[in-house]
Amino acid sequence: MLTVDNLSVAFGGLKAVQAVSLMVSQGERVAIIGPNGAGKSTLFNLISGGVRPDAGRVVFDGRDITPLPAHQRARLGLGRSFQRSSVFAKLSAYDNVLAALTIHRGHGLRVWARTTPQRAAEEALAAVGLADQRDRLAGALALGDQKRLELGMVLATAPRLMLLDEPTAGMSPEETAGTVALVQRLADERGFGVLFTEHDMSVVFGVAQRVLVLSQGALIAQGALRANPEVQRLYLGGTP
Amino acid sequence: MRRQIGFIGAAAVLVGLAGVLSPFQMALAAEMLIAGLFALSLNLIMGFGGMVHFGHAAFYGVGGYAYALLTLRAGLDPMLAFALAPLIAAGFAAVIGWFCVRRTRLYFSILTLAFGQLLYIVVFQARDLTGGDDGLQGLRVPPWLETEQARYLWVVGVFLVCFALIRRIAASPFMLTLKAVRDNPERAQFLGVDVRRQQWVVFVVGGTFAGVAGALFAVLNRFVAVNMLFWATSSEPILGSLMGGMGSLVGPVIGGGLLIFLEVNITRFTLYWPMILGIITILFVLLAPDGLTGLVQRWRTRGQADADRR
Repeated sequence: MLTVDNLSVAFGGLKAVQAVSLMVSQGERVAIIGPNGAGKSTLFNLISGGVRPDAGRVVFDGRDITPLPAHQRARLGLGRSFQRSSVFAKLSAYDNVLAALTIHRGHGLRVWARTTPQRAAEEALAAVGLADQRDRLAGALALGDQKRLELGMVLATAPRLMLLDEPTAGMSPEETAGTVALVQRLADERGFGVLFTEHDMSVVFGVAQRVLVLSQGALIAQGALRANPEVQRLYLGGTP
Repeated sequence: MRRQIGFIGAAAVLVGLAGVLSPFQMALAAEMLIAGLFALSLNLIMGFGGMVHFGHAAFYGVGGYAYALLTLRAGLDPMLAFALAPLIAAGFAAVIGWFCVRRTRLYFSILTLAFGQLLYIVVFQARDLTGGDDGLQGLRVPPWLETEQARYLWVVGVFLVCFALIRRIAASPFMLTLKAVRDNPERAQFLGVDVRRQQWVVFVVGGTFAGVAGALFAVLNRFVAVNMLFWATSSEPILGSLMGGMGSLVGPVIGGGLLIFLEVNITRFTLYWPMILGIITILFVLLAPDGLTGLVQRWRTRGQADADRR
């Protein structure tokens, strides 16, 4: 589904991501962990098109998408969320999802047409549990609800792979548990893959089938976490 | 349905006024409608697109000068010239907008200002063609637009058609997507929007309607002046939208018209109109940043809340 091949980028002298290669197969759930500044967000930006790499390739669905701008990657089914909640603040929750749906269907330039109510938008809103907040302005929603709304927006674009940048950052334990269950359920139902970063280890182990560890821009480990001494040093306190 | 009734009612009043107002008042009312259309065209870009545009007068001026030059220099039929003027404004907006949307926020605004002033200087300097700072006088209009009343009705008719068109565009998937871009360009981009193209399209659509307003000005007054393109003229629809309220379509029309009304009536008593305008602007920004329509909205929701409490 997604193949990242030898991807590198440097900002000034800082090698933010160095020769990272990874693969996510269809429907797989993969976590990327690593300390702050390890390059997780930069890697996400490289994959989703926010940052251009100095070297390497991103292949999605058998197609080299490295030269494509972010909006074209999104149209191919590569959805993403942001670390800080990112919604259309002055639009209602429903209009947020409706806008996402409009964009997904390629209707964004239809100047001479009417926006019609869409059941798919109601469904996406209901899928993330926000049906009762339908008409509230997105900017007035609680932070956790904004993050769920963003999930609903990405969902409306029928992604085949979702990149989630710290999906539970800033959430209470209850909200976190709810979000984990939600992502699990949606991925089960719709079969999209998930590549996510997260600091909360319970979320990582709860969702991910496989874990990649990023440190100083390089992948230092993947797969069987607990057996790797370096990962233990970074995360699990040194003693097995 | 209620909006249709409102529109038809407003149209009936505007047409009916032709039988009541004096020629002077009709000219003023027509000026107000033109200013309203000009502000409305800007508000598509500024209110719906979140792009603060300091060069919108350029397209207003291009619309006016296109009509003037096509009738005066090219000898075209006035109605044909009137139909072509907005298209020429659209062409200018397409080229200038292509450059401007490559930058965002302040840098976008500065670019619009620079391009606007560039066009102003060109028109100012090309004396042989444009009359320079004398402008162009004695423009031809169709024989059936010789009277003040006929010209007023023509302005009313064109205004109503434009308002209906803009109202439809405002309810389009395009505008929903543009509002999404306004609120959060990054989020919109990663959902699949080509942000620059979205902004470019509204820049051209707004420029086209500004061109209509400029051509209407030329027909109504039978002259065009280089001031139409000056950057201070760009501030009028900005202030009009602000006063009327950027969240709606009616707001900028009311705000744009009100500014003309106040200017004409206040300059009769005092030369300090610019100072009064400054005070009005400050009061609006501080006390009613959502403009008049925002005030009405707030007053209504408060009334609703009171009713709910009871």
